[in-house]
Amino acid sequence: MSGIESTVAPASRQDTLYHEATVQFGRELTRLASAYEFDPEKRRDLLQELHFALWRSFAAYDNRCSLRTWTHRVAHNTAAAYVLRQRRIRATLVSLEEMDELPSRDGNQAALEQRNASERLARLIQRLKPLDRQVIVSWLEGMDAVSIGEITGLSPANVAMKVHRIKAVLTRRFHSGGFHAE
Amino acid sequence: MRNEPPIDDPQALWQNQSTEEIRVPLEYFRRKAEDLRATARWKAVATSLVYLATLGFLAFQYTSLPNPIPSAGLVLLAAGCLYGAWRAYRQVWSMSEAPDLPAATGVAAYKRELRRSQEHARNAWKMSAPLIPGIVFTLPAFAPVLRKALQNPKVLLNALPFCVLLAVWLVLILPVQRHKVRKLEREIAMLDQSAGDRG
Repeated sequence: MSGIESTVAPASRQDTLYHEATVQFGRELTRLASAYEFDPEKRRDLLQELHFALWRSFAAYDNRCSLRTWTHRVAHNTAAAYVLRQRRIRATLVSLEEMDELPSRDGNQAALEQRNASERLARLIQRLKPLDRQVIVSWLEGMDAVSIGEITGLSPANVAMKVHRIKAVLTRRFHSGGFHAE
Repeated sequence: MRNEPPIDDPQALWQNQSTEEIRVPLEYFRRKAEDLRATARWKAVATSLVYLATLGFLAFQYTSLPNPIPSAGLVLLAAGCLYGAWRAYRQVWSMSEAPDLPAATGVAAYKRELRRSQEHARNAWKMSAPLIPGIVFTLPAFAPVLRKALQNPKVLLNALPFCVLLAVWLVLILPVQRHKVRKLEREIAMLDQSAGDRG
């Protein structure tokens, strides 16, 4: 079941493309929203914003890239703009090097131990800078380096290197947060 | 606790997370798009009206000033206002157009957002700087009033906290803004480097 669905039959090409995208990638969009916003209410608002941006974007869709690439580009760009608008959150975004150096078992981390693994993974991803986040979320959705390159604008080699580094940092952070205690 | 795959398979962990369902009618999107356009245009019109009213006020003051120096100051102030109006109009009006974010890659879109933040940090200075020459030239017109007010210690005492706050703000704002702009520049340079590796 997709995360969000239109309740009227599609009419124009824009509506048809949007409908098609939500049927095929609705769940991916919902998961993507969880990588950008933890609060469930705000996440719902963000998801709605993502869908609105996606629907709007299909007025200009020119088939130069796949529907999936387009959908992810729009969603990531909209979500990144959302993160940057929220200055409070932006101040806490960290680079991979900084994330590796963060103390592993602070109060937040202890509280996180009580939560399920996917939520904890999302929380770790939410602290990454937008570009790193786009790379890892796309990879988690099963995309290859070429597709991720089309979404982000990075070279496939650069994507592969980034995925490797982010995965290593996330795994370390995940284990130091007490994953096995659950 | 849900039965989740281990972190050794993060893709499965990610893709198996539960997703909630919400429904939005397409009509809502159409209405929202129209509302956004209408709001942005209304803002553009309102901003222009405020600047026009300021220009009207300056023109009215111009006729009542006998001294040529403050009059020249008012002309400069009006020119600064016109410049500000043009910048504000351009900025606000562009918001009414549909965003072209989707056509951009992640690097390009993120860079544009950073540039927008950078522009925002610089904007306050760009908007106020053209007004400074006009203010400097206009000040002599208020000199007698200021001189008279400053002779009264009570007025001085009342004005002191405001003056101190203004001084602190002026001293702090420039380095803070400069630091912010430099940080954004560094991030943009890093993005350029990443994108440069492509192809």
